[in-house]
Formats: sequence, structure tokens, C-alpha cells
Amino acid sequence: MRTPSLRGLALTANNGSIAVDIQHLSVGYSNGVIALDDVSAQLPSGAICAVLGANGGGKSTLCKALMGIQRPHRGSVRLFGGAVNRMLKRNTIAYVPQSDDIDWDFPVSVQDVVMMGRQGQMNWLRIPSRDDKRRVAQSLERVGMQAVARRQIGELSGGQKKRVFIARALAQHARLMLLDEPFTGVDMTTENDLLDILREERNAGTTIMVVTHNLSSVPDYSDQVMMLNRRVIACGPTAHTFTATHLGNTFGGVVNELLKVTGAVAGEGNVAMSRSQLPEYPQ
Amino acid sequence: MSNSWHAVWQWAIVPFTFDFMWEALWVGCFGALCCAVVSCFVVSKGWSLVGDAVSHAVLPGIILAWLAAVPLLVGAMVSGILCVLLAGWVNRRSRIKADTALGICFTGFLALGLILMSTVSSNVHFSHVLLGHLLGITQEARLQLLSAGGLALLIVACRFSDLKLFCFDAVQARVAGLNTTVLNMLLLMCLALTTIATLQAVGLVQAIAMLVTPGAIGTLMSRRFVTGMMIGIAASMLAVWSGLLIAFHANLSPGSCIVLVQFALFLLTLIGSPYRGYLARRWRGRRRISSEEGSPLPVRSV
Ligand SMILES: Nc1ncnc2c1ncn2[C@@H]1O[C@H](COP(=O)(O)OP(=O)(O)O)[C@@H](O)[C@H]1O
Ligand SMILES: [Mg+2]
Repeated sequence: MRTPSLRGLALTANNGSIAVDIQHLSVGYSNGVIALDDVSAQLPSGAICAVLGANGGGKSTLCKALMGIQRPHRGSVRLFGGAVNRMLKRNTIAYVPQSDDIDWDFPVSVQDVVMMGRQGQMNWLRIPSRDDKRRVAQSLERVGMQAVARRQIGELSGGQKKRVFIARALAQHARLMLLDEPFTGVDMTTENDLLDILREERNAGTTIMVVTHNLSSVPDYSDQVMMLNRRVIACGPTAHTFTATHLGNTFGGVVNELLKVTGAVAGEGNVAMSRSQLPEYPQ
Repeated sequence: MSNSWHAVWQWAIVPFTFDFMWEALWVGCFGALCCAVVSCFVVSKGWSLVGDAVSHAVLPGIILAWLAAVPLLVGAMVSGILCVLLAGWVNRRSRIKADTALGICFTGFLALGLILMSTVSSNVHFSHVLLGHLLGITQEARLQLLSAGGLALLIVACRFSDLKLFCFDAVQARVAGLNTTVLNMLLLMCLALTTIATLQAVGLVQAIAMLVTPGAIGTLMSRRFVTGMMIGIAASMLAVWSGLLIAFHANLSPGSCIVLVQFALFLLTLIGSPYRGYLARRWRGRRRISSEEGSPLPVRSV
């Protein structure tokens, strides 16, 4: 599927290097809300990292900071060793937005949306090359949306919309994929399909950050977990980080209660949670 | 039969055999073309108020440019963009919301322009700037509007795809590596330039109608960006043509007639559009109920 490229070679060469390096990052909004406070974290390249946290915990703000949209008050972000603005010019990030950030009435077709992933790499007049068209068709096929390629984007169901935006990120073929709540409002089939695609991408060397509320599937696919609640609660390999204590600290009493009901021992620190023990985090 | 055709011919075509009417028609249509093209971007980005602000805030720039003997389009761009940047700065530095900041800034610029205008009022020139002067176009004005409109069209032609992406999803534009600061500036420049291009037709006060209505008509009529743009351009030109005729026969202000016809066209599409019109929605709604839940599409709530 993926042609072996220089990119792949470079990645195998520096496998295990740091993809995202966040140092003492503080981000606030003009209304005085401090969304992130002294956040430091490092994510290895070629891994899937699940970003967890309650609503308002600053997950979307972290995404914005990684894309240089929200200027930090203090601290810094480096992607693959370079400053954000420099790396953006080199097609470093592909982003799958939260659904409520999109104008679904905009007159563009599904195919146009996926082609937008190629935009930065086209010629000056942005005329799609044969290669661009091939990648778009391939991405649509991978998410199973080639049948609706000519529809206007508002005419899709919630799950289909997610698939289309994942296809756009795939078409972009960037080194880091950021997904903001891709599984919210999506059925199990779609979630599993999307997870399969993310695993394939990871195996091909892409670094992936997934913001999610679906705790139950996190141990299945993620290599790293980052828990956020304005500050970093925990960050590290899933086996050591995805524990009842940390979950309790991140989500407060809600998860603790649910854990008790399902028979897990909430207080016991370092036991990583398995899928069967975990309840779905209530939306 | 042939008699009534003759009457239509007399009413609708013959007036344009006068030189001043013919001139008014093509100048008006050129302004309408430029505005309609930019309008589609403005409307889809939700920048109607920004368009309003820029089109009014160009006034002091136009007058100062005239005093300094600089091309009007330079003055217009500088003062229009300055106004929006000032509003953006106010918005970032305080708790004032963006629309309030824009409203305050552009009325300030407009007032400044009006005062400048009254101090140099010995030159008849400027009274036409406010309401348009389609039936007495000077050689100089023709040059101004052609160069301004041409530049706006050139910007859109070269950066069409990027501007469309910027309007649809500015975050993706940034992530794809495009320079969103430049795109932002280009769109603002287009607004100022098209205001100049339509100055003769409808004047500064009504320029916003030309900058918003065609885009709205296009959005209602089509689910493709380019098709919507074509429909917007056609509607806008139709409005110039019929507005001019009404003004000619009833001896009214051509600018206001054009804007009013465009408004009527908008109301018509709002009701009759086959895609998003009121009647079509009513009809589709009834059909959906009768065919139970057969459609795989979600019912559009808008
Ligand atoms: N554009 C904004 N302006 C002001 N405050 C914001 C804005 N976006 C988010 N916030 C605030 O920042 C905090 C973190 O929000 P967000 O990053 O969206 O959280 P999450 O994505 O984890 O739910 C919240 O308290 C929210 O109210
Ligand atoms: Mg969020």
C-alpha cells in the first residue's frame, strides 16, 4: 500500500526518537481561562498515544498548541526536533477536527474535502497531479467511502463524516496525525475500522495522537497514554500509566464509582487496567 | 404577438443604445462580476460584517489618496485593512467581542472619511463615492475601477483553491502548510478592491449588498462552490441590467434600483430554490413522511 520512501528509511533510522516534545507549556485564552498549566510531556515517534481527560481538561487546546494555532504563554513545543511553524511547512501534521468545528453546509464534496489534505504539496496553482488523485482515491477506499465521494459533506451520517476526515488525514501522508475525539458519536463497527487503519498507519511509521473518551478500547491500541486535567496527571507507556489510580485522579469520582461497581480495585495503584474491567466513560 | 415583442424590445434593449446607458451597463456588470466572485468567499467564511467594515472604512483612504495623488485603490486597501486589523487588535486585547470591535472601528473610519470629505468638498467628485454615479462615468473613474477589479480577479484566480480552503477550514489550511496570514490579507485586499470596483455602480454605502447577496443566492441555489459562484455572478449581472432599466424608465437612482432588484432575487431564491428553498423543503418534508424512513440520508435540519 505505502511505497517505501525516504521518509520510511529515515524513520527506521531514528526509531524510538522523540516525535513530540512539550516543555513547561502554559496556554490561556483572552477571557482569562488557563487551559494548560505547565504541561511537559514527550512522545516517542511511531507510536499511538491516547490523550485522556474530562471535558474542558484542555485536550483540544493541546492540539491547537501543537499546530501553533494557540500561542503559548510560556513553554515550548517541538515536533521531530523542529519548531512548530517550521515543521508545518514541511507537512508534519495531519489533523482530524472535532465535528462541531466544521461548517457542514459548506458547498464542497467529499472528494474535495479529501483533496484538501494534498493542498500543501500541490503545484503553485493547486492543480491536482495524477499522484494526488491516486492518493485521494486510495484514502477514500481505505475508509470505505468511495461510494459517496461526490456527495456534499453535510449529506453524510456522523460516522461517515469521521471516515471522510480520517481519509483526508491519510491522503496528507504526514508524520504526525492528531485526532480530536474521532470516536465520539460513532458506532462500534466504525470505531473498529478506524482503529485498524490507525494501527496500519502506526506500523508504517506514523506517530498518532488520539483524543478520546472511550476508555474501554484504550489498552487495545495505544502504546502511550497521556492524562490531562489542565496539568499532566500521567504520561507514559500504557502498561504503566493506564492504572486505576491515574484514571481516578483524572476523571474524579465518576470513574472510581464505576470501577467499584465493576469489581475493580480502585485504590490499588500500579495494576494496569484490562479492557474487561473498564466501564465506558459516560458522555 | 409581434407587437408585444416589439414593446419588450423597446423597453429592455433600446435604452442601451444610448452611450451613457451602454457604458453604465458594462461598468455595472464588471463591478457585479468582481463583487460576486469575492462574495462567495466572504459569505462562506461568515465574514459579512468584515465585508461591511472594509467597504465603509475605505472612505478616508480614498480621499487621502486623492489628495496625495496616489491611485485610489492603494488608499482604499490601506485604510480598509487598517480598520480590520485595528478591530482584531481591540478584540484580542480586551473582552470586547469581534463584531462589536468591528462596528466601532468601521463607523469611526467612516466618520473620519465623511469629515475629510466635507473639508475638501469643493471637488464634486466625492459626493458620488457614497451613492454611486453610474450615469456619468469619467475616464479616470473607469481606469480606477478596471484596475481595482482586475487586480481582485487576478488574486482570486491565482489563489482560488487556497482561499476556498481558508474559508472552509482555516485550521486545515495551516496544517497543510499554507500561510494563513497571507491568505487573510489577500481576502481583505479583495474586499477593498471590489469596493472600489463597484463604487460607480452602487456607491460605498450600498457596496456591502453587492458583496453579500450574490454569495447568499449562490449558496441557496447550489451544493457546489463554483456552480454557486456562477449563479451568483449571473444573478448580480441580471440585477444590474434590470436595475438600470427601472432607473431609466422611472427616473430613479440606478444604484438603489440595482440593490433592490438583487434583494428581490434573493427573496425569490429563498422561496423557490430547488435545493434549499422553502417550497422545496416543504415538498421534500411531505414526501419523506409518506415514504416512511427509506432514505439513508439524515434529514437536513437547516
Ligand atoms: N476559544 C476559547 N476561548 C476561551 N476559552 C476557551 C476556548 N476554547 C476552550 N476554552 C476553555 O479552555 C478550557 C479547555 O478547553 P478544551 O481544550 O476545549 O477542553 P477539552 O477539549 O479537553 O474538552 C475549557 O475551560 C474551555 O472553556
Ligand atoms: Mg475538545
